[in-house]
Amino acid sequence: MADSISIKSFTFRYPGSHRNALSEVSLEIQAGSCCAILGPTGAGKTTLLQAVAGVLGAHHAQAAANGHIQIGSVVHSPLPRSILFPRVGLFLQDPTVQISGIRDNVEDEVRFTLDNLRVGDEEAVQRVRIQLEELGLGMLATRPLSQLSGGELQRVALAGMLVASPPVLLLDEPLNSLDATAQARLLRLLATFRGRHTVVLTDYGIDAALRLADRVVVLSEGRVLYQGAPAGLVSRSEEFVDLLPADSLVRLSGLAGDERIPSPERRFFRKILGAL
Amino acid sequence: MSIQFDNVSFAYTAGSPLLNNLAFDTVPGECLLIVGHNGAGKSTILKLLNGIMKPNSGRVVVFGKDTARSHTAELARDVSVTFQNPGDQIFARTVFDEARFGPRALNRKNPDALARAALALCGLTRSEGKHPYDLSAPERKLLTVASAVASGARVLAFDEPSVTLSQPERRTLEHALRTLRSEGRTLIIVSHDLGFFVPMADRILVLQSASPALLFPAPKAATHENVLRRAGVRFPYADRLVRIVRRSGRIRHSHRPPPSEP
Amino acid sequence: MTIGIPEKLALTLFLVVAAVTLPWNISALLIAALLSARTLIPALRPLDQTARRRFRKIFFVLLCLVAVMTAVNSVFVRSGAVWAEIAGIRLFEGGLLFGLTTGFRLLLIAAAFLVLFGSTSIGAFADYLNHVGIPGPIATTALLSLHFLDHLPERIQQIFIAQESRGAPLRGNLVARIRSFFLLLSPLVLSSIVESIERGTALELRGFHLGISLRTASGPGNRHWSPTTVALLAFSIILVVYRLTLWLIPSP
Repeated sequence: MADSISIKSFTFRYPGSHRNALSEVSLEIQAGSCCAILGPTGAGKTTLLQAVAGVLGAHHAQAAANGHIQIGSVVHSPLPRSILFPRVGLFLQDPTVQISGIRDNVEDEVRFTLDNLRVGDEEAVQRVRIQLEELGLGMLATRPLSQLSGGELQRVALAGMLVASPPVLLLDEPLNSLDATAQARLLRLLATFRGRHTVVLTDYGIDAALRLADRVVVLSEGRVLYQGAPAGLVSRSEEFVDLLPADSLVRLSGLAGDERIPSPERRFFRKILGAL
Repeated sequence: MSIQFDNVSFAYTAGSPLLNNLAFDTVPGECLLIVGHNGAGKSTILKLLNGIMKPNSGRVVVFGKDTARSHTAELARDVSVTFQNPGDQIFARTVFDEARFGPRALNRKNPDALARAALALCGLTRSEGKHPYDLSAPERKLLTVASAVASGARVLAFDEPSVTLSQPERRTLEHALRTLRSEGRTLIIVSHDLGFFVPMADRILVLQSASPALLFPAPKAATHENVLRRAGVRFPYADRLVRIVRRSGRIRHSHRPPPSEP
Repeated sequence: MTIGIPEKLALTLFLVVAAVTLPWNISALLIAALLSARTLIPALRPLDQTARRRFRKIFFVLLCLVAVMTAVNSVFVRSGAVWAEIAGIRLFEGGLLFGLTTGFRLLLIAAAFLVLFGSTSIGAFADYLNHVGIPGPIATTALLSLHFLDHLPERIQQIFIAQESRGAPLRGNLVARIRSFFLLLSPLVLSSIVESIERGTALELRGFHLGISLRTASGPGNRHWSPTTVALLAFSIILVVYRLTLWLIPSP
C-alpha cells in the first residue's frame, strides 16, 4: 500500500530568488520505510516536502525546476503540478493552522477530509472511528475542539490526514512545538506505520532520526550532504557539528569510540544506534 | 530579591484553583526555569509577574512594587515578559524599528544603541533594515528576544523561547542568554525544552496540578527525573542515552564554544 | 418548513430589497417581525451567548444612531410643513421623513445580516458553499474571512497583552489610545495575512478544493430549492420590478 519515493537531480528555484532552494537533490526512500530529513533553517527541508506533496508545483507554476520526482510508479517531471492529496499527505508544523476551523468537534473535524473526497456516510463514520481509536482519541470523539490541548489538537490534525490513508505521509518538523512526552508518543505512533505508509519527516535535531528512522538525509543550503543509516551520522559527527545540535551528537560519537566504557554498555549503545 | 511570590493563589474560575499558596523569590542574576504540564499554570505565572493578572490572594512584589497596585506598563520597566507568538507583537516596518520600540516607549537613554546591541546579541545585525516578515520564522522569534533585551528591563521572562527555533538560531539563543546572565540580568524561562535550558539554569521550579510546587537547583535535575517526568517534561533521548552509559564509565565530553558573530 | 442556509440567504436578500424599495413604516414592521422571528424560529436564533450579546449591542447602537439621525435631519432638512416645535426648535416633516426612511432602511439591512451571521456557523456556511459548487478560491476566501472575524476578539486580546508586556503605553488618555490603535492593528493584519496563507494551504492539503470541484448534484433533491426559498426570491424580484416600474413610469 505504501509508495516508494525516488528523487533524481531535483533542482528548484523560487521565482525572484538568486539562489536555488534545492540543488541536484537525489534521494531514494523505500516503500513503507521511514526517512528523517535533517538540517538547519533554510536548508530546503520544507521546500522538498512541499515539492513532493505537489504544493510547490501548484503554487509556483512559473518557477524554474529540473530533474524528476517519482512517487510509486508515477513519474513527475520535474515535479508534481497539482496537490497530490490523497496519495500524498503533508502535515504542517503548526497544528492549529491545520484544524479546518469549520467543524466543531473532533469526529466532525476528522470527517471533513472524507467529505471532501465524497466518501459515503456509512463508510466515513466507520473510518473516522477507526482512525480516532488508532490515535487514542476515541474518548474525545464528541469533544469540542476548543477544549483540547495543543498535543491533542495535533493528534486530531494528524487523524484528519491519516483518515484518507495516504500511501505517503510527509511531516514538516512535527516535533518542534511538542513537549517531550508528546514527542515520544508521536514517534511511537509513527513507528507503527512501518510498512503501511512511507513516512518522511523533517527535524533540526537528531532525536527522531536516532529513534525512528531507517534512513537519514542531511540537507544544507539545498544540497544533500549525507544519506544513509543514522549510525553513520554519529560516526561522521564532526562534519555536521555546525548543522545539527552539537553537544548530543558529539557526546554520542565520543561514547561510541570510548575505550574506557565497559564493553557490555558500549555494545548496547552501538546496538541502539545500529552501528556494528 | 528582585521578585517575590508571596503565598500567591490564583484560579481562572472559582472552584478550580490553578496556583495554591505559591511562594518563591528570585535571586538577582539567576536563570530560573519553570516547567510543568500544559495547564499547570506556567503561563499564568508570567501574567502574574507583570500585572496582567492579579492574584486572588497573596501578593506578587516586583522590585518593591505590588503588582496588584501597579499598571503593567509601569512594571514593564523592571520586568519584560515575552509571550510565545511573535505575530502578537511584531508591528514595525523594519527590524531596527521593532527593536527600538521598547527602549523608546520606556524612555531609556540611547534607545538606538540599546536596540543595536540587542540585535547584535541575537545575530540580527545584518537584517536591521529588513521588514520583519522578510525574515524566517525562527529569526522573527529571535527578534522578540532582541526586543525584550533592548527594553533594558532587569528581569527578562520568556514563554517557550526555543520553540520553532532551528539549529543556528538555537545556538544564538543559548549564547545570548548566557551573555545576559553574565551581565547580571535575571532570566525567568517557561519551557519544556529541558535539554536546552537545564545546562544554563540555576534553579528549576516544577509546577504540578495537585501538589505544591517544587524548587530545586538545576544541577540536581537528573536526580529529580521522576518528578520532572510526572510534570510532563523529559530530557532529550540522546542525553538519556549518554546517562545510561555514564553510570558505568567515564565519558569524553567535548564542549564547543558558540560561533562568533560574523 | 425547513429553514436552511438557502432559505436564510433568500430571506436576507428579501429584507435588503424590501428595505431599499419600501417605505419606512413597512421597514419598521419588518424589523419588528424579524426580531420576533429571531426568538420564535430556532433556525434564526443566535448560536451562542456571544452572538446574542453582539446582536443586542450593535442593534442598540444603531437604534440610537437612527434616532439621532432622524432628529438632526428633521431640524436641518427644512422641507415640507412644520411638524412640531420643541423648545423653540422647529422640526420639519420633510426632514423627519428623510431621517426615518434612511434610518430604518439602515436598521433593517443591518438586522437582516446580523440575524444571518448570528444564527449560522462557519461550518454550515462551508458545507453550503461546498454543496453549491462555488469556485475554490472564492469559497476559501469566504471561509478564511469568517474564521478571522470569529477569532478577532481573542486575537486582539492576545496582541494587547503582548504589547503591554513590552512597555507599550496602551491605556491612558485619548492620544495614547489612538497611538495604541496602530500597535494593535499592525500585528493583527501582518500575522493574519501570513496565517491565512498557511491556513489556505492546509485546507487544500485536505482536499478542500477537490471537494468543491468534484461535487456535482449529489444526494436526493439537493439542487431543488425549497418553496420558502422560491417564494422569498419571487417576492424580492417582484419588489424590485415594482420599484423600477414606479421609477420609470412617472405618476400622472
